Amino acid sequence: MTRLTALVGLVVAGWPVLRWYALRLRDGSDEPLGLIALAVACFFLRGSDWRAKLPRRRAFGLIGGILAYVVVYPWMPASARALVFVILVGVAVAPKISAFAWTMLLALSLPLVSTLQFYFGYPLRLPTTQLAAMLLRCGGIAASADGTTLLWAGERVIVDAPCSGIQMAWTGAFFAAAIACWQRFPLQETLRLFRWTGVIVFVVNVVRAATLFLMGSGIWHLPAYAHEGIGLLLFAAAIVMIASLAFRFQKPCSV
Amino acid sequence: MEIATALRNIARSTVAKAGVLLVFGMFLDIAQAEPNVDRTLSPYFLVKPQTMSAGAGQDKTAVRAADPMPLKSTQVSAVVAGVIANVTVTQTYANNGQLPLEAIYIFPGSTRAAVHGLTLQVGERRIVAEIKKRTEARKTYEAAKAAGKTSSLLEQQRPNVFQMNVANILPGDEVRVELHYTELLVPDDGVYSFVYPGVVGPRYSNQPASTDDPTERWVANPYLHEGETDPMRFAMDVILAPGVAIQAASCHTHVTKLVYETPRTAHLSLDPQETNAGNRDFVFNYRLAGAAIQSGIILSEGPAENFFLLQLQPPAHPAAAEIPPRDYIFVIDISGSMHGFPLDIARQLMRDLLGSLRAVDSFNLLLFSGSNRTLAPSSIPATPANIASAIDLLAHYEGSGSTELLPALKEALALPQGENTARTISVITDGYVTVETEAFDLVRQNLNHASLFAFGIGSSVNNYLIEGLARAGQGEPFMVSEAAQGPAVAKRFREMIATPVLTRVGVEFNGFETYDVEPVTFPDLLAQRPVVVFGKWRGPKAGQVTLRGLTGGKSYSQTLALDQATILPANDTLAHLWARARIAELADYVNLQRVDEARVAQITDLGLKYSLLTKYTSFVAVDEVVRRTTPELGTVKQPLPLPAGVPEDAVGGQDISTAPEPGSTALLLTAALLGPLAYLRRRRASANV
Repeated sequence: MTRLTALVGLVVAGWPVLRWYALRLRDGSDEPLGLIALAVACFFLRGSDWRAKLPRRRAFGLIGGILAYVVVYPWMPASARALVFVILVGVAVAPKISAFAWTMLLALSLPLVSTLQFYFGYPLRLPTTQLAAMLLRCGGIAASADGTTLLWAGERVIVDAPCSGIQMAWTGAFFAAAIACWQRFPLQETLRLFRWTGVIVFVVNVVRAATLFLMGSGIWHLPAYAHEGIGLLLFAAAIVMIASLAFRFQKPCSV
Repeated sequence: MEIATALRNIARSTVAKAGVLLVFGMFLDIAQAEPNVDRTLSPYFLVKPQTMSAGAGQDKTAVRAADPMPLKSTQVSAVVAGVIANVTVTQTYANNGQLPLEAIYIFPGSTRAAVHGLTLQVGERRIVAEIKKRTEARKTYEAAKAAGKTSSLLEQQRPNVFQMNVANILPGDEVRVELHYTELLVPDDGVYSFVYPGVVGPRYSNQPASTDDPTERWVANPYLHEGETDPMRFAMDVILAPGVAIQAASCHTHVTKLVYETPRTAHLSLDPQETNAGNRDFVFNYRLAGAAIQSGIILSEGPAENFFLLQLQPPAHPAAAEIPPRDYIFVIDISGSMHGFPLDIARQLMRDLLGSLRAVDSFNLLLFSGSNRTLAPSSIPATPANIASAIDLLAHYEGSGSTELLPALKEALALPQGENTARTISVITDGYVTVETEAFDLVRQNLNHASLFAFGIGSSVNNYLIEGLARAGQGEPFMVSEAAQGPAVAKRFREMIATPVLTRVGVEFNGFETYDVEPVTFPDLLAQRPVVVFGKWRGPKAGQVTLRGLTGGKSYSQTLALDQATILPANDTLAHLWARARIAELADYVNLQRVDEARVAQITDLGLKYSLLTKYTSFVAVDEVVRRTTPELGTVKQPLPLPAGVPEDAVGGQDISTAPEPGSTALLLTAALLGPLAYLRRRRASANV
């Protein structure tokens, strides 16, 4: 079985997932940013030998995966089916060295940001608020956190859903996956990069929440556009850190 | 590698760097524009220390040292002589901070008040305000403010909402502003009410702040939290001297001390235990012995014009007649400001109103907040089962969301109606909206053969909306401040619809030359209250006045001879009341969207000629002494208490700060721009090693 045959087979068999994907892209609940991740993933497949035979290990993995997929299909929500489908596509066609990073790109192309926001938004916002309060206290401002609300001297700034950092986490993960594909990182290096990306984005979001509290509470009098500007500057710092880390990691493997 | 080389070349070019900065700047611009798009003119909670705008060159420390609540007290003194109340409101401003201040205070007034004077007292100096065109008065005030002179400006934002600006209150100052108004008290079922509205409730507005009309900015005012005591001291003093014996007098809204000095004179003042008295309307009811004062004519003579005031008591309600089946549409406000106590009152009122319907009647419910919901697509018979389901439906709503009154009225007016049924629309709301004139216009243009009754619910209702809706809808306004009033109000409502007091009303003057009479036409009289006519007269004080109409299908007439008239000593009281009535009539037809220049000019001329506060004329007083020599001037909007019983939901959380992430496109572009740059920097560093 060639890689092309495997992909065609998967696309035909996975039509319910593709239909769901198309519907979700059009329903407006997520921004269609996943298409960019999909385009970047396709870009890294350039020059793949589609007629090459699927390695035995991958072929067994694919068959096992499809069997499991078929068995659990009725009990899985659509988004979980899509994730499994993406992994199967990864097994079938991902580049040899950076297979994990490439599959991550494909996973990021799924319209899942609002789902992530729903399930992981609050668990992220809660520690973000608590740590932002600690950071403010370190800076001499006696702020306290009440749930996801920052309080100081009668002022309230809410770390609400759009402040969770999910959007930054998605962009950071996309950036890390793209670099890992580009630099052909093996699994271990890719995992290491993702781990650091998560930590950097989380810390930057805490700093962002604390900084914006200074604006929201009137301690800093800055124009309204500084709100977005501060967020972008901090995110830019995160990107520079992620890129620097990526280039410091073990020298990428050659093909 | 080819791509990397190309990127490196591009990045090195100055033009490309400038482009990067430009793109970044564009994102910032987009980000800057976004908040203004969503932001509306809405009330907000006071965030201490103070919501104030800092002047140029001010630092944060200076702003925080300003007095956050400069209005220290409001003293109301009213003298009710006959049927006319002369009221003086004294507002005392003080600055206990370290920064010179401009104070802005939004306060309510009676819809019938003729505000005719303002004085400003700074130390020993007392300055009488001038009435000017609104724009000119504002210019005079702004010039005085900039010049460092203590000055005050009184503007009308609504017929029942005023705005006082006092500029250059220096640290340690005490500035007093007195405003004077006159009001005619009209009895309802023989009961007179002197009402002093306590506070302007937080108004819902969906107008974007970025494109707002400057005259609507008063809506964005700070409020104290629910249960927080207003530090402003509120005092009330009423001398009741109607000229005849007082049968009964009472105040149910406040704890008061009432002393009868003679059988014809009473003195009422607030009890010292009333510490939060300014968060609700003050209502003083009284009844006179006999009905002598309820009908009569009052004359006044002036150097240029003479005025008269005629009050004719109508007959008692006729016996209930056989009335055809009616269709009732109840439009009920279930927005955030109705949460809790106001909605409880509305539910009780609805139980009483629905309970008074007959089986031959039909009805429908339209509940509105940000959107509308009807009980049924068209009216349903008033059967016990349908009434129970209506009450059940209302029980499901707790009051939340915005107050989109106009779409609700549009839907109610468009609901299908049977050919042979007369329709009555009843609007039940606290009236905390800013679209009064639009609502009046909508009702006037679409009512067809229906009539509209308006029920004001709560402790500090927007009377302008309730009375205006009823006037536009040829119906009656009702005020309901507690659930216990429900049965009585429902009974009155039913009585009015079943048996109007007087229809085809007309007033004739014989042998008495009158002109500029207000009103020109008379609507059917539904309630037991006098027909009130203002006007000018000339020639001899002789002749007679006759009230005609139909009551219970029979003709009715009542005649008063001019020789029974009461002659007022020379003053402007009747002139002010006449001009106020004329302005109210004209203002009802001036819509924000279609300004009728001729009517605006008429209102302006009346305001200037009779020295009255109107939408187009304002009072301005300037102390000519330059008192502020430093550039700093803070602006403080006096925070208002929430009306008693109104929950925090009425204000909403629009102004609570949040810390949202940057937009996803901006994030992606940042990553796309910085990733290659970081890579190139790394490569250059590696090459140098």
